[in-house]
Amino acid sequence: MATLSGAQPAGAVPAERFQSEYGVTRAYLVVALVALFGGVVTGLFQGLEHSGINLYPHLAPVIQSYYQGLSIHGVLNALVWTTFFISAFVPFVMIYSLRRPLASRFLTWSAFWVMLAGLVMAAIPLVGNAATVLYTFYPPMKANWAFYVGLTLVVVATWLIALNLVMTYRAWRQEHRGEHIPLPAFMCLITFIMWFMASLGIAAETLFMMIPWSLGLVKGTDALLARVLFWFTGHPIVYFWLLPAYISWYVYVPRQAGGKLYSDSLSRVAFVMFLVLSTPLGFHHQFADPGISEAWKFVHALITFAVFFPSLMTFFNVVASLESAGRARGSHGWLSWIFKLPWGDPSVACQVLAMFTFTFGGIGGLINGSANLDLLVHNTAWISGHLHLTVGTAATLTYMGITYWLVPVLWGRRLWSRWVALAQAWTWAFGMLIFSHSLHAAGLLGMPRRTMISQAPYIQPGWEHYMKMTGIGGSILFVSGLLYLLNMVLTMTVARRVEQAPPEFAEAVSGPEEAPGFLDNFSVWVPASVALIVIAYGPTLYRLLTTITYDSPGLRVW
Amino acid sequence: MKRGTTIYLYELAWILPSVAIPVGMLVALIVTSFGVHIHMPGMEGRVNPSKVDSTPPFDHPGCVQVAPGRYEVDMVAQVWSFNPNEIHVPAGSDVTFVSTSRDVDHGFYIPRTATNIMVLPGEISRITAHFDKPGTYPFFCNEYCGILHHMMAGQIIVEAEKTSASSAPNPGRQ
Repeated sequence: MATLSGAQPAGAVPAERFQSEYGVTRAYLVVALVALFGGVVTGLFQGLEHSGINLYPHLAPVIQSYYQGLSIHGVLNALVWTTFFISAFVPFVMIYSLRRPLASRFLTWSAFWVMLAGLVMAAIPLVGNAATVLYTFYPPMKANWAFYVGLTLVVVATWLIALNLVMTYRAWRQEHRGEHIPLPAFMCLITFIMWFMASLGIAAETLFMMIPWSLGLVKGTDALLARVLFWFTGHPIVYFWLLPAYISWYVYVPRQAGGKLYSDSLSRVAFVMFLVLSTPLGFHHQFADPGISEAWKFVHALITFAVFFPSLMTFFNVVASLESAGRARGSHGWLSWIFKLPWGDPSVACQVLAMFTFTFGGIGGLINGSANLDLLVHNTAWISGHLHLTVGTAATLTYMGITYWLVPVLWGRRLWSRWVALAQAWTWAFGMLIFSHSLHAAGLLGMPRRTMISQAPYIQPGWEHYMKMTGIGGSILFVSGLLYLLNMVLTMTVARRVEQAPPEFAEAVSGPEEAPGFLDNFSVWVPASVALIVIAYGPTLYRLLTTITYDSPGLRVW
Repeated sequence: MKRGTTIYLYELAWILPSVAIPVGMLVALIVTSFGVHIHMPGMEGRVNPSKVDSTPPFDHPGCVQVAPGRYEVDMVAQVWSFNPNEIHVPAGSDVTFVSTSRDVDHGFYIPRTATNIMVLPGEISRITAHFDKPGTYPFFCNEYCGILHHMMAGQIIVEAEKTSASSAPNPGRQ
């Protein structure tokens, strides 16, 4: 039996070596939780609006409109909560996996401060109703320049983290020539290298289009080019959210559940495929757009199907690992191992429920990716339902499960209440099933997404039932979110003090010694990723850049 | 060795359907696209968004009969309305919607159909729908376009009698 992280268990590394990392991880998590609070509260108002309870007139001093609330909800949950959590968790996994601190303490902290400064800059116009453009900020809708500069700084901060991770890896490599990269570190590196390449699209959009234009340095912009650059990043950002959840499912959950990871090499194959395939498929968000040839949309649909494959690999590997855990705990039946899992551990409960819910998210994603079939659901509530299964549950509920051990470890205290945490896990999953089912069903009946629907003049037969259910599901999610945040705050402040190490990494049934060495070879996979991106995007981007006249002046429409 | 072999068998048992499902979906996509001709929007040309009012066909928005049973609706989307926002066609018509935006991103969507296309400033969008049953078909904007986005809507009235066809097209375009 091989250990993923080398010969010794990870817990053997004294936490004192990681003092700076513990500090920065705590800082990221505090910001992430504050953002989630804002996102959960604004989410409640939207759910209630769908069910016909319009609170916005009473919120006017703070939130001027449904659409401002929606912008805040999207930015805080999808961009801030996720990015700050990932920036906390992934480097934390990295240092325990390589058993060494991050290479540069200066980079560690400057990344945090740049990211925080960016967040504050973006938040000021957002809260001041000067950036009610939703988190996709499609021009020619024009927000205050500070919003774009702030978002850009957040992206730049993630690059600093990526650089620090790569430097840490290179320092480790100096001392460990010819060895397999430990699996957790390998996954952390893939996550941030993939993200760095993918984020170049949004960075180009904000740096060369949005910022000069919102500052008045250039007169016009172009809607289609901005959408192409946005979705260059906008789909792989989904994998940036998911891969940290997968890391936890692969390297912590099997151990937490009392079993072993099934296959180390299969995990590496899946992550290599995510690196290569995550980015060249953004047109599947633009199947309904004019100005992009159908042939290239087809290519992106093809790659979308291809990237489904490593997700199925993950499904197999993780479920097989959980089965091994159930059997190790005394189960013999075909499915009874599910009931033998440690459901009393909120960290495991959250993450297994997240996996279960994500199955539906994956199937829905395959439908969305099916090009002409997507026209039936494009921009309907179906898409919001899908997003809440993926980032809203697969990622978010997993992140919550991780914090149920990470926050006690970082703050040196027990989890304040295991029972509140368990109630939170189930209410989130249950609330999300109601909420997401309602949105999917309403979407099939033609209900649009991102719309103040209770005020719309075109409500169709069948929508109202699901609109009410959306409000009910959203309210359950709100309660669950508050239970989570309450537990986190009390864990940080009043829970009983106890020093503890993070969970150890799972061992693998089929260990790294069976993984082919070329899987670790970034000098093959990174150029392959770049080549595929150039093929998938090159011709369309070249055509747009050489033919477009930037003649949309832009306006404020809220 | 036995342990390893079992693992590889399980892996194989999972890999084959993992390949089969996406490939099956791809085949379905190819069949519906090239066999059944359910197409995605493509490239239809560009238009300067600040000169929409003077660029044909958007200088005269409206519905025009282009052939027996075939109509073209030239449509301008803007915050927060469609022009035209009421369209009359006889039952059994193919209607092609040619649209662009004067300001920000919009969508044109007839609920519960695949008539679902983005309408962007600078780009011309083209999509065709077939109307068999008489009745009123709503359409609305499904891309957030500002504070009154949810008010941006219109309707297509599909009429039963062939005689009404003469009143449907915009006389200015005949």
